[in-house]
Amino acid sequence: MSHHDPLEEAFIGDHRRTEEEIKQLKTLVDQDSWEEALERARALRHALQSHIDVEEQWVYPKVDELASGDEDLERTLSILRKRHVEIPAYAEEVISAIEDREAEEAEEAIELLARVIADHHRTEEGDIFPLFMGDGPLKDVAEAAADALRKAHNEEIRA
Amino acid sequence: MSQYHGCELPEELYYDLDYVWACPEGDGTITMGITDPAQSFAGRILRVRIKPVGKVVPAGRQVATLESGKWAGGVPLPFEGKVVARNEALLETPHLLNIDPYHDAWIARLAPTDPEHALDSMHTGEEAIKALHAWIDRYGIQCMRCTE
Repeated sequence: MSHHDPLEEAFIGDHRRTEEEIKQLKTLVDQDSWEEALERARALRHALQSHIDVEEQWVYPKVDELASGDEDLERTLSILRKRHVEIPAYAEEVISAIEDREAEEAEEAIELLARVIADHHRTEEGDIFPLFMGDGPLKDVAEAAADALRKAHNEEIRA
Repeated sequence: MSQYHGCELPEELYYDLDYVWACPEGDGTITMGITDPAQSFAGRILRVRIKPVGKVVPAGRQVATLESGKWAGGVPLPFEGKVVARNEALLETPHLLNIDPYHDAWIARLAPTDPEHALDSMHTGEEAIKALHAWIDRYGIQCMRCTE
C-alpha cells in the first residue's frame, strides 16, 4: 500500500519544481531567450513568495511552539527565516539582470539564487519537515499546511 | 572596540544590523565590507564577486556575493551608489574576509547618489552595538578569525 504524506507531496514536491525552474531559467539566459526568461523569472518570484508565505503562516509557527527551549531548533528557525527575507531579494536581482539583458549578471544572480535555495531546502527537509511527516509530533497539521500551499499556487495560476 | 562572543564591533562604523559595515571617507565616498560576526556566520569564504567599477547599484541590491563551503549570500548596499573602487585582493584571496574584515578585506568603495542621506538607514554607536549583540545571540555566533 502506498503511503500518502501530504507535506512531502506538497512542499518537497514544490522544492523540486523550484530547483527545476531555476535550471530552466539558466538555460533560457544561456540561449538569450530574454523574454521567456523574464516571464519565467517573474512567475518564479511569485511562486517563491507564495511558498514562503504559506510556510511562515502554517509551518514555522508550529515549529516555534515545539522549539521552545531547544536552542538548536530555535537557531535553525532564525536562519531559515532570514533566508525567507533574502530569497525574494535574490529573485528580484535575477529579474533585474534579465530586464537589463546583462548575461553575466543574470548568470551570477541565478547561480546565487540556486545555491541559497538548495541550502535552504536541504535544511528544511532535514530538520523541519520530518516533524510533520510519518509519526512526527506535528503530523496532525500537515494536511492543512499542504492544502494552504495548493490553494496559494492555484490563486497564482488564476491571477 | 567593543567585543562580544569573540566578535569585534568597532563603535565608529555604521551598520545595516545584518552583514554590512560602512565607513564614510573624507572625499564623500563610503567604504563598505562585512562584519566580524557575518564572516564567522559564513565560514571560510572561498569565492567573492564584486560589481565592477563604474556600476551603479540601487539601494537594497547586492554589491557583492560571497560563497563558502556551507553558505552563500549577497552583500546588499544600504544606499544607491556607484562603485568607484573594489578590493581586487579579495577576488584573489577571498578568505581575507575571515582574517581582517574591517581593514584589509574592505569590499568596495562607493560614491553615493545622495551623499547627504546615504547613511540614514544605517546605525552607529551604542545603539548599533546593542543590536549587533542581539544578532550574534540570534544566530548563536562565536567569532573566529583565520590567521592565514
